[in-house]
Amino acid sequence: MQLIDRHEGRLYNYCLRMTGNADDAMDVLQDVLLSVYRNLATFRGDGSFGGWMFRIASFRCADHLRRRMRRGQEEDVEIADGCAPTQQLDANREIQQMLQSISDEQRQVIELKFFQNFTFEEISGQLGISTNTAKSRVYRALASMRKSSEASVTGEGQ
Amino acid sequence: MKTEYSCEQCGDRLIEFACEELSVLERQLVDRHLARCTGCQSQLTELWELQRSASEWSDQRVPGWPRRELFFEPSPWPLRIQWVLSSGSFAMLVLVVLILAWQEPLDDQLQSITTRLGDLESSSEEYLAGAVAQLRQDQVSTNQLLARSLMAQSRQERREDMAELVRLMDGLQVQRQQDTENNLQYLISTQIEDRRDIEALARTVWYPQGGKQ
Repeated sequence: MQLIDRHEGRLYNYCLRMTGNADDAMDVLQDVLLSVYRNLATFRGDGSFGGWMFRIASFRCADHLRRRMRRGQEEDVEIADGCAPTQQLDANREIQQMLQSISDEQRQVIELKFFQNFTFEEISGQLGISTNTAKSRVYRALASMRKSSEASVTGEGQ
Repeated sequence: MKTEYSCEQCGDRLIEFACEELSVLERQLVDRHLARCTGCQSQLTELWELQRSASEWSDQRVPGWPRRELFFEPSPWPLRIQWVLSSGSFAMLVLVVLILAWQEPLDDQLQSITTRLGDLESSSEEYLAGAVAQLRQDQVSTNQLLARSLMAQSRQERREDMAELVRLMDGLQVQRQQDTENNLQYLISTQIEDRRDIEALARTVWYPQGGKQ
């Protein structure tokens, strides 16, 4: 239970940003924590526990997003209020909208680099990709966000 | 030694530059490139904007969820046992209520209980009085026995003392007789010696020339 208390907040917010939906985030969180709990014996201790846990979370999120894509569902960005002030909720909503404008793969790298502050070597180990691939995903994500932003500005102008 | 990065080399390091993960030398080289490259500058601005957005995220509180039930699923057996125990308790309660309902009315029961208690009290008093009398009788008998025993013991001790005294007196008498005999013998032998001495003296006095008597 201590393990859950310590990590569930960080993981929940990670899932919230990855899925863009509070219900989905809760489902994935439970899935991740159960998976971590059941696979604790396989943790070799040669890396950080956080890194190992986020690798599991990355797989689970990727699975969830893949299943959602297969079902063809497009989820609206929904933020659980969590008793946060409205200004903070607006900021969170903007960030989620920004993250939903990029692909799942790009979102994973952005999440791990800019929200979880992992190094590219760690991201490379967690996602099983090279550091160059991870960097190029960041640049492609920037380009996608730029396009999306320009499109929304154009839409508002019309 | 390299003095400045190309756009490709700068692009490889721009994210680490934004995240301040580069060495001092690499940072200086990127800085020099950025001073003259607007394309890389705009990319860096976007990266900083992304960083700023990420820092503005305020963590949401995790909604309540049944984690204890999910992680520590209760075994079905305790639940069944609890159900069985609850059912058993309920059945016992019903049984007790039924038994009480079939019994005599409460007033009659109370009267009967009071009568029984009175009987029990009187019989207890009788038994107690009998027990006290018996105890006193037993005590008197015990005292008598004890007195007899003490007296018998005293008589026996006196007999033994007398016998000892007699033995002692007998011994003393024998000793005195022995002493008297010894004294008499001593006196007799002394008298004999004295007589011999007197006779010798008389002979000396009466017959100084050594003549025969």
